[in-house]
Amino acid sequence: MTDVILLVEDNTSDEKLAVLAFERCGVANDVIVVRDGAAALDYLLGTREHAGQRVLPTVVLLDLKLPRTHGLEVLRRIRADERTTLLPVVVLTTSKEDEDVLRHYSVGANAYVRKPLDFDKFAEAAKALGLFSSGAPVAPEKHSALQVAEEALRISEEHLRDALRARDEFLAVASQELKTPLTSLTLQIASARQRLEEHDAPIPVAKLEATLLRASLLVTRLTALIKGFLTVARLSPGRMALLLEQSDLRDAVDTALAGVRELLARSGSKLEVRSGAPILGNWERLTLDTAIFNLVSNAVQYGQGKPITIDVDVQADRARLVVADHGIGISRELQESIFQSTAPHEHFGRFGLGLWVAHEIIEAHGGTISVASERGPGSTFTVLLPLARKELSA
Amino acid sequence: MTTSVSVMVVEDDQDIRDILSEVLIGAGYSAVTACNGAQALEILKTVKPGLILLDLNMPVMNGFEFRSLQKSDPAIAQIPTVVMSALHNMVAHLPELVIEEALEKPLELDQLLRVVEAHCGLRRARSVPSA
Repeated sequence: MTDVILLVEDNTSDEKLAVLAFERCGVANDVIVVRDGAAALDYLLGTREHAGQRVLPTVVLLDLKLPRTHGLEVLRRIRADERTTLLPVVVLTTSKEDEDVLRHYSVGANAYVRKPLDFDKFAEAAKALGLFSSGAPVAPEKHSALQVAEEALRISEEHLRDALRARDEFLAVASQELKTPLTSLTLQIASARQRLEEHDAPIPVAKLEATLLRASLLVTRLTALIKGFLTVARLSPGRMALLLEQSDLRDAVDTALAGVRELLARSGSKLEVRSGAPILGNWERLTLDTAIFNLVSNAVQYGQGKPITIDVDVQADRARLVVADHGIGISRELQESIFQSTAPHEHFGRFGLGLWVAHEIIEAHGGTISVASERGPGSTFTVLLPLARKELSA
Repeated sequence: MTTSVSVMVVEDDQDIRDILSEVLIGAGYSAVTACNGAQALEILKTVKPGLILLDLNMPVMNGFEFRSLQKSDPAIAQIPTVVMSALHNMVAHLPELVIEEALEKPLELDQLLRVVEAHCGLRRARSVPSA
């Protein structure tokens, strides 16, 4: 058996483009494709039932945004296992910014390939270095330059159409979400105007103050929603990079708490923060604050007035933030979609876009977010973020 | 023993629940609120509203699930129910919900009060809200 290439990629268009690039450059290795992070780890490291592959692949091509287990977690576990610690891993990124963030955290990738643009360059370079076995050049009638160009164009079009559809769905969901606080605000104003028209006697100042306070809280809520959406738009591939600076995760938690104070007081939940020494990492503070604010306000909103705990600590080589509530919980089928911007339409029990915004921000920082929940006894969100390097060696 | 109230608001957003109760009570109606479909069904065991205002997108039990359970229980099946939602294609869902009336979010106060009036009668004298 010739050496194989393991391609870990959930997107079938990207898979096709990669395979096409190998064919074009005469790479003869078999390509084994797995669709998610857990399957990749099963293949390489085995499970309790079987011991994993005795012959490792020549190289692993690893996408980052994977279902089940995130690409960064896959990479971390490949490096942590002595059998695979030296295995060449090429990370497939979608933007220059991804690469910058990843390099910053030295996650242990051997190289980065921006997909789908750099597949060809990569395949050629890898072949020249003798990483792949070279096969006979592809028969010209099978892949004329024109056919290849047409296929690449067709796949790019598919990408664009998917992106457009996703954008449309997102707009629908986002406007729905904005209309929730807008509904309260509209009714507040209409009701106040009605009172003004109906009453000859002046409205008491205290009553007016209460109305204005509630209205301004709704405006704050709308502003936070819009800020979250715009932040995610900025993080999407090919846009501006994060402005990373060293800061303490505990400070980000404090900022988020200040933002939810009013909401918390009204909910009746008691909130306890447990943290110790400073936890330093390179983060874009304002953006990370938004993610943590969204997580905490989700816990308050769905916490049913029961206690909420926030733990901030270091777990292995990463900063960890755990937000646990004891509220309504999230059913298993919904857990699959809470971090997405558009849930399947049969799900009308969504938790809004706040969790999706948090997810996008945390991934852009090279971190991961996961949820453990059963319907009923509450939800526990766990965020893992890379530490500053100094902290790592300490 | 059942208590009768004018309007039941089934809505997961606390701000909307609060302001709806306030305007309804201000207009002389009595109101009871529920955070989701499951809580609404529980309350409906003892409270008989003249109208249910139903949000669709709610955790635990959404408006669709609530509506199908409501229709299958003869004791509450006939309570007039009006959807209020920000769903962009809400009208398309009405046949499935067996509902004819819908209020689009953001709600207009005048329109809301007209719907309530049509189902619960003219506003009465101001009443003190029950605790």
